Amino acid sequence: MKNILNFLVEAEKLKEIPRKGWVLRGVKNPESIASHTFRTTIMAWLLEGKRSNFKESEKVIKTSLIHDLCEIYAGDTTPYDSLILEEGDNKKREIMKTWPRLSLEEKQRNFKKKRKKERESLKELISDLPSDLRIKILNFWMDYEEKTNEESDFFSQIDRIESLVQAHEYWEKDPSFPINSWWEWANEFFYDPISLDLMEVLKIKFHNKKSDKKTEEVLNLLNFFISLSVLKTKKLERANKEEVIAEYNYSLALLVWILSYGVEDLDTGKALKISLLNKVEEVLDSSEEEVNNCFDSLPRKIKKELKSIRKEKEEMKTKESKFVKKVIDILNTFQKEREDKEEFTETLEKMNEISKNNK
Amino acid sequence: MKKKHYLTEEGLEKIKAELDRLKKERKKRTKGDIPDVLHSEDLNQEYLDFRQQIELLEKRISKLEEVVKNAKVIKIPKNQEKVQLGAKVTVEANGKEDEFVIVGSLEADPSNGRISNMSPVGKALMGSEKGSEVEVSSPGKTVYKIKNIQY
Repeated sequence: MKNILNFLVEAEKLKEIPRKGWVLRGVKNPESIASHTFRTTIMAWLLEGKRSNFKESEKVIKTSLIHDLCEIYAGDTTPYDSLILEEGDNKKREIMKTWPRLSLEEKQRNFKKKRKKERESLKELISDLPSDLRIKILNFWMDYEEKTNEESDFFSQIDRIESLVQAHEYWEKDPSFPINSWWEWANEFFYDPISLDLMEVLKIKFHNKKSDKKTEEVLNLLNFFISLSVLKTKKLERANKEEVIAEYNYSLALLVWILSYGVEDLDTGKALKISLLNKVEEVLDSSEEEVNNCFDSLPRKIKKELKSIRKEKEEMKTKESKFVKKVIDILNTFQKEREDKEEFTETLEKMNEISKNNK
Repeated sequence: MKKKHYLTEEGLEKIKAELDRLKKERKKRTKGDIPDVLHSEDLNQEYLDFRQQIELLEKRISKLEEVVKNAKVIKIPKNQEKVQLGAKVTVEANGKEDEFVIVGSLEADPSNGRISNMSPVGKALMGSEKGSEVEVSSPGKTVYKIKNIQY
């Protein structure tokens, strides 16, 4: 359990790393990698429902939770890094206005270097985890990196769609944010039909493109994802001073996965979904008419999925919802002990207990 | 239904050779090269590393087998003046030179220089000739001037 605890301490660092792309573009108080991961996970889960009726939602949720873990040691890299290094920091603003254009050889060289660095970082980060879990995490990451299957390929598109949505949210707040370079990139990057549909509705929502009946459903989905952005800025009372709900939920889901490992008769996918909806009532119960409308008009199967998971979470009758409640208690204990700079005695006790009682 | 993997003949041969090599590796590793399992698996790092390697090897083998099974070889077009699947395209965009290869979606990876024929830019470039200008307009307008096409 000590090894799992050490891993958790390291994973918490994702909340302290602001996404480099936003920092380079001069965004004030940019989101952390953990915040990005949280919304990406929800989007991947729900859009997987649209893609294949939630058949592989557990797989895409797990892929999402670990896809950026490597950045804890490797750092966040952007395609602009080599150009800024070459041209100097004072030209940064100018460089960020357009998408970097590189030779095929340069792209391939950067790609290889980044992948090697990230893979080594991830291996170092998870080196002390139990072997089966370590293999699982590494396999999910490699599937994502190499797009070994349809789900990992789909996820890699959704991961970037979340960033494109966030870019528009920053642009809406600050019109000097360079949005055109994002579109130069997006037009080369996206090919998955669901991602292409989301690109179209982004044009409707933010660039005055005319809407039609066909795009209504996807537009409602986009509006729902945008409404979740409040979780990236809203702080949780119990959590540490700086932490926002999105970051807390990220830790919670990751811990649910790790602690559920080896637990018998537990539907991990369901437990993960319950943890992702933690505090999401802040959005779902919003009195704002716009939010209510977009939730009500979500595609039927997605609305049904959200409602049924939420019901389980509230009724607290299933093994999964009770398990998540215990993990919330462990996470809160962990955060308190960390804040008070204490040894993690109580956290470890609770972790041992959950593992013992569920096997 | 499985999607087709569009590959050049050379690319497919390369994958087949890799698959062959990995299968031989698997045979070698599982035939008598297994590290001794001591009293507890958890304590035997050598055994765990071995298991991890085998699992990754299996994963790669099954992916490659799937690719070979669903491969569709891209034939080098007679008219090599036009952009088709497999073309390495040199363009000028916003006054800067850029290079990428147009591939099928499952092989696409723009940060590695491989753009899908189903992406807006890939779609716009397909069928275009050397010297022509292609406009991709959404929200901002980007003009791609095709400077070279290679197969």
